[in-house]
Amino acid sequence: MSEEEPPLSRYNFDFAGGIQNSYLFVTQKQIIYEILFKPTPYLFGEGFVLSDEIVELVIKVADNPTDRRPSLDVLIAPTVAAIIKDFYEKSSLTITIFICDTADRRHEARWRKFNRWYEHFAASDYIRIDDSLRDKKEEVLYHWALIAKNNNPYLREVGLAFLDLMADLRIGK
Amino acid sequence: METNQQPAPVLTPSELARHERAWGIIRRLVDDKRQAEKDIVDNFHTDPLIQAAVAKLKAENERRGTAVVPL
Repeated sequence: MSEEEPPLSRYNFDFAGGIQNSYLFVTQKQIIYEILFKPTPYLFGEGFVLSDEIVELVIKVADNPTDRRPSLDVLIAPTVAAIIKDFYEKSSLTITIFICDTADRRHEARWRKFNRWYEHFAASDYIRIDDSLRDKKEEVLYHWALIAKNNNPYLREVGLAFLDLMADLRIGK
Repeated sequence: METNQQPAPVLTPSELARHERAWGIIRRLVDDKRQAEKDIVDNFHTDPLIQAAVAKLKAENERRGTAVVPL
């Protein structure tokens, strides 16, 4: 199967729930991935109208019995996309934040992976806003993205809050 | 000697506070993410919620004969 042809399948997954809204799936190589939608109410300030709906997307290999770095698996992107969709079906007001940094120099690979997941996920009823910024103090570059449903009644407030934060980060530049 | 370097802009106390607050949020997001990633690995074998979900998933996959679901 080439990368250009979207896979016609994904992995089975389970919603474990908990405070961090945990999902799990097991690959054919028995590698277990955990995905969190971690509540992040502080992003736009505790008083923000949807502060309880803001989550940070975290994706991590939880257990890898192969003891080798997982190789490219074309079923992971559609699985992550299906999990994000499933979470939005549980709460359509969700605002998802994904951030990656350059601290260990593998950020570009992580950002590309996120974009691959998003390509599978992307539907016309979602909106995504991206930004990249450099922290001069710590010499780190960040990529981050916000995803919300188009029909979120607070989309304007979400967009303005994101732009305000971007502007505050750039004050003096 | 002439240089092309722009002098650093002087921020008002209010601007400085907003700027520092915004960067504090970004750094906290990254720190929280790293901690969450560490917790995923550290707690995998001991968290009963996770172990129950994995057992359920593996049993389902075994019953179906595959971990793959057609789209």
